[in-house]
Amino acid sequence: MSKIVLEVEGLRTSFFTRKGIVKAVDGVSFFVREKETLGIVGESGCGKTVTGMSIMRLLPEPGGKIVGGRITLNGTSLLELSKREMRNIRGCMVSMILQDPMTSLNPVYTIGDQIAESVRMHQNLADEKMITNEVVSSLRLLQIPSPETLLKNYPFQLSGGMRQRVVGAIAMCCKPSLLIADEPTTALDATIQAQYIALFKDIQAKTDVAIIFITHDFGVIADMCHRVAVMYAGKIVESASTSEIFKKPQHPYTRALINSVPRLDRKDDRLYSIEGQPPSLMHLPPGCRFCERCSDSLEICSKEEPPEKNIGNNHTVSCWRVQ
Amino acid sequence: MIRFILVRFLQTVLALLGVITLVFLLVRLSGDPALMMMTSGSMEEDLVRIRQQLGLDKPQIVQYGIYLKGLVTGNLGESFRNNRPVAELISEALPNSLRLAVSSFIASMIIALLLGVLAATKRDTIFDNGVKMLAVLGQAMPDFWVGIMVILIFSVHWQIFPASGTDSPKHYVLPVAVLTFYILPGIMRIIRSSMLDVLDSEYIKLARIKGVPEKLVIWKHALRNALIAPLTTAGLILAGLIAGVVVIEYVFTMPGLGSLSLEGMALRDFPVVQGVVLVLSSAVLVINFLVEVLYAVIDPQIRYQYT
Repeated sequence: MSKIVLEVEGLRTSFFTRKGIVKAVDGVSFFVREKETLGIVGESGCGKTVTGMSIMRLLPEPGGKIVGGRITLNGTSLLELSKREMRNIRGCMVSMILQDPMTSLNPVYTIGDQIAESVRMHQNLADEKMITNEVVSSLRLLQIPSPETLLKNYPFQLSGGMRQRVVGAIAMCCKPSLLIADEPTTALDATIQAQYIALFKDIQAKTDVAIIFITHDFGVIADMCHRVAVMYAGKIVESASTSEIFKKPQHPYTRALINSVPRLDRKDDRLYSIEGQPPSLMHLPPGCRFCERCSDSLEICSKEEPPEKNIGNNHTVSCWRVQ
Repeated sequence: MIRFILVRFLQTVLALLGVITLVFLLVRLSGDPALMMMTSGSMEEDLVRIRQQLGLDKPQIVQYGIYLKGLVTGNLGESFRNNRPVAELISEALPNSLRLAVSSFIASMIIALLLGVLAATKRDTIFDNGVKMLAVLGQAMPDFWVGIMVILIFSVHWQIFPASGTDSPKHYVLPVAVLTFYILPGIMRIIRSSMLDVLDSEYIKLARIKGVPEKLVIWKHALRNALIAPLTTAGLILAGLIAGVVVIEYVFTMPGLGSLSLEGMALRDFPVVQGVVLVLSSAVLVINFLVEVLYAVIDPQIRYQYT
């Protein structure tokens, strides 16, 4: 087993608003190993992105706050670091790719400048030539053709797919041990999406980077991830290896999500969808959070929260139905 | 970039020619100045004589020719009122206007930039609300009233600064302060909201993800993008200031272009109005040209449209 890069234990992140406290992430634990990709899957607003932003310690201020738990990256407890120490880790030991390639590059600086800025900040390179070399090699890593000319280009001169590769190059230029990819393929069209995923598998093989892949798309999970954590309303409801999840999904929510993926080998008149809305994170129900939308809930489900059970093979589920 | 500047420059020159012609035509539409100079005892012959003297008896096209020739040689004609060369009148008034305009412009831009950016980064804090209050005050209090008030306080009561005149830099302190306070709120609010938009963008998030220190995030990554919208307004403000701030000129008795053009218009003093409008429109055109060039400096996308 390769070593654990990131361990998150009981992470709780809340937003303090005038209307009340929103418990966006409520006791989430997971870990990622070297060379491993962990998928975090769930619908919009379930706390996937907030989990990622909590690891980066970049919650929107004022309001967003980590109220509990531990985050350990390569043995360093991130929540105990000063702002300055955290800044040195950000973009260096851990980096992140955002969803929208069209808007995540600064329009007024060249590609070269934007990557070099990271290199300059995090690596002690005395001379400009070495910095440029680093920048070019990170562009090569992302398989960007003729990187030397691309350096002088501005973001508006590139296509969406190419921009997302540049964003990837910024993330990878300081050889991070953890990469958080927050729906990096959602804004890309299907063929570019497939290329991008293949590219990241290749990068992982070359650099041993651990990846957290945040998505709402089970299809992408199947392609990309070794293990999956399914999030619902701020909690991880099920987690297992990807093959296990697809073969033996235990939680009704996981099953519903997998059923919602359109399939070529079945003739359906209608796409499957889950009835109802997730609960408000400000007023959470006392029992299981999925209870109201669940098709086979028990009496206990609406009263008590189900504990997390390990059913073997590192497969954990939080559901009263699972014995 | 050079091509861009060249194209814009030529456009500016063309626009200036248009303005010159338009000014000539417009002034001539507004009535006969010779009639204005008549008194109750004047005779028909006087009218003819005056028209002759002023060159108004010649055909329009000839008048236009004379006017163009004058412009090239720096001769803007003579005031109908006191027969002094217009160029001289303008060169007396322009320095006052320029000093007033440029110093209050620079002062308000620096303050607006600092306060606007800080208010955006400290959104909804006491600081932000304080800045908002200041902006409301500046916009709600008319400049002539603020002018009179500062004269009462600083010239009459404390006697720190002179109340009128243009003799020394000290004379400019009060009018510049009043003007700055007057134009500050608008531009400051634009900078604040433009900055808020930019700070909310994905590339600012990415800059933070890269580990860029917050100071650089704001002053390097955000500000340059946030300046594009306020730049237009800043250009308009400067043009407006040069065009004359009649009220301030009157309150502080510092005759500038504003007063000159107002008097010229009231007395149908063609050459004076023509001259002032010409100077002002050239100023507006030059400012617009500079704004365009600055756009191109800030935003590469504009720069690349011309390569």
